[in-house]
Amino acid sequence: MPRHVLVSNGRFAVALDEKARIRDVYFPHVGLENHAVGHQFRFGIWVDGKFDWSDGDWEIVMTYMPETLTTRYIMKKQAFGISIEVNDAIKNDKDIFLRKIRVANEADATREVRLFFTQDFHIYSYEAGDTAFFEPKLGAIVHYKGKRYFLIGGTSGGKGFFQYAVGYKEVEDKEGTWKDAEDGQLSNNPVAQGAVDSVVSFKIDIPPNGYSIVHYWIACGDSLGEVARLDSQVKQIGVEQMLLEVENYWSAWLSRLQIDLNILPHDVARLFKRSLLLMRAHTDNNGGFLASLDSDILGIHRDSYSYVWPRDGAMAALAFCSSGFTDVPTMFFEFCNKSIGDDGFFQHKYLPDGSLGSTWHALIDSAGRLQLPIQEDETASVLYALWKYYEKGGNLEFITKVYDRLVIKAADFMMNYRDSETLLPKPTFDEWEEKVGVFTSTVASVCAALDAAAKFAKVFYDSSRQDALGEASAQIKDAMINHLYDRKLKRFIKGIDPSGQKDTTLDSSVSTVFAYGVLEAKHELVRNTMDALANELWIKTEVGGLARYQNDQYRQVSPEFPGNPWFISTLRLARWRVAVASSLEELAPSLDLLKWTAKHALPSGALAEQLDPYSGYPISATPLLWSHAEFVLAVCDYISKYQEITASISI
Amino acid sequence: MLVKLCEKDKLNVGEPKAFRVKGHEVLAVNAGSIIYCIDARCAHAGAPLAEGTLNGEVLTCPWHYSQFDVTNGNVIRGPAEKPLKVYRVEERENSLFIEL
Repeated sequence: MPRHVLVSNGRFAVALDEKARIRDVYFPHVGLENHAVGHQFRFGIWVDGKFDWSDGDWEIVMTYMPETLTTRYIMKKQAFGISIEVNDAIKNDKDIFLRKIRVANEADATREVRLFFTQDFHIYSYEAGDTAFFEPKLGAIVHYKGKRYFLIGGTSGGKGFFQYAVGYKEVEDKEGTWKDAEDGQLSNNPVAQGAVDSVVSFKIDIPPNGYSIVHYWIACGDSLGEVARLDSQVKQIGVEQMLLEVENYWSAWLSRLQIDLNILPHDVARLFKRSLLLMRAHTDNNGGFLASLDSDILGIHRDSYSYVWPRDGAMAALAFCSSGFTDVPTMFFEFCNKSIGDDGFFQHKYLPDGSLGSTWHALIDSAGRLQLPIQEDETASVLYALWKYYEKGGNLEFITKVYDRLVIKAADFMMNYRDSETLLPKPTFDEWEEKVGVFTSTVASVCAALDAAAKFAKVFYDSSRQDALGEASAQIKDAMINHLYDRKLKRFIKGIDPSGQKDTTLDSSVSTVFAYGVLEAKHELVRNTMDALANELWIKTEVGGLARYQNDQYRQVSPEFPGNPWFISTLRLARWRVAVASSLEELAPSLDLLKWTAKHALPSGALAEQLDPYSGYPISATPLLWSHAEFVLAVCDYISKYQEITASISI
Repeated sequence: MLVKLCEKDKLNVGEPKAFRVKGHEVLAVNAGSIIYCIDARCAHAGAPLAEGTLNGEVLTCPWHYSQFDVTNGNVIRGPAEKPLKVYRVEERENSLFIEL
């Protein structure tokens, strides 16, 4: 189940599903230490003796308040005669999840309503050894294990919890304490240890056609004293004021945008702004861009997308730079500078604290021969993005700090890790992380990265290095055209496997040839390739969209199609259509793809990795950082080209 | 000082658009026969009014649902207490100018 909304402050992040249930709780890094791992923090409603959870037949549309990272969702159930509006946010400068619940009574009589919130923490991602207890002085429930404390507080009409309960779950057939809520009453059991969960309730009497407000919060920290201090601040300042502060913070953050979005359709402009905010929500304050915080994917291989892939991060950095936000990429490049190995390349992926992430890349191939278990484009894309960052912001002081490791070491590795005969990069894993070989997308990225490194060398008057890097980049470009463009097929092929066998799969990753600026978008070889992609990989259903490649089996819905539609592939096609356009008429097809993206976003604006080709429902991790980054890049390209064309018309 | 805001035909009826002009955030509202220009940020908490809902000449804030009369900037419903600034608008052929 995708995550429809995500709130974050760069240290503490909470993701909710389509039924308003918290499913992922990250702290103290965005993406590291998931204390919920997909377990449900339920939302229950009791009215006039009837009880229901929000996953019953409630109508709920999960959205955000415009230009903020504060949620807004309305929950309605006709039989209950009430409507509930909820705002969730994380305080921008404190580790507190804030929730405001406005319950409106649609009946002509006063009614008693009880709200229930359950907490199913799995602190440090496992249930064993947790404790939950009621803290009478604070009037709060506290869950803790080791150095992680979560305090649950709340108030309605000046009163705290109506009732509460803590108890056991997942042992001896116990579903959990949350079941106690279904009769509208809680036991007030004050402590439990082991596999535990908790429930709190609020009781409100709502006048006819009136409303009442409930406030709920979760403070987190590394000690009881820390969460008690945060609890005290909430009580002193108030949730209403704190929510106003959060709304203003993110609105001010976004208002630094210097791009005129008025030429865009409203839904595209809105998704552009939402994408920037969601990308920031995926950014850990230690600089890592997390690929996705949706832990639902744990169902496959018990691993998630909560890692920093340097390539995905590079795309996000490029997108932020294109939009004029260079502060967030600075954090990312600092992270990269610390993470890159002494050999000059990035490993597969990293945790947001900079440690090495899990991998499925083997150090030997099926014949036992050594292979480098990396994706070389992850190193190349970071260097390429670093140059774009420098071009945009001119932050030479920062570049000076990272030049030795991020530029020289990385460039030396890429320059030397080449086949002496073909001059192409040696085999590594592809952009889709599936195969080993020499791939067009990797080659394009390395070519662009060495060119970027040569430009950096020029900045530092490192002339001999500049020449060597420039020559290597040119050699790789020639070799790419000679070895990876198939004259008979009239397009770039996916790659060449380590035995020298060509993999002619039609793969959208080859769009990087133009996206990295190795060949002009209008170059005949690029045009032939992109036409082939658009013709062969387009999903011919009402959903549409471009598949990644032919016979893509990752989360395949039907072999009838080359694969499921991916936002990344579709938006790269949009970028190419922007790049080749010379008139507003020629620009129109790219706008159609931007509109297509907006149409297939969730109501909150979250973009999935891929879509079901029949229903358009999100498949795989949602929201996905890279999908949002490609959308931002495509929109920036579009606006830039639109302005270029209209300026020339005016002249 | 009169400053050009945009081409008049870029403003669709019922679709407010925000502009940044010399440090001001201005909302242009095409209410049918007349175009009004007011502050683009809610007087209550700074919400982007371009994301608000326009019903005739009543604009509802997208954050906390304050309501304003776009013809004079007055508050119709809180929580906002202060009115929105109203800019004098001048139309010259297809161009829209405001006075700062």
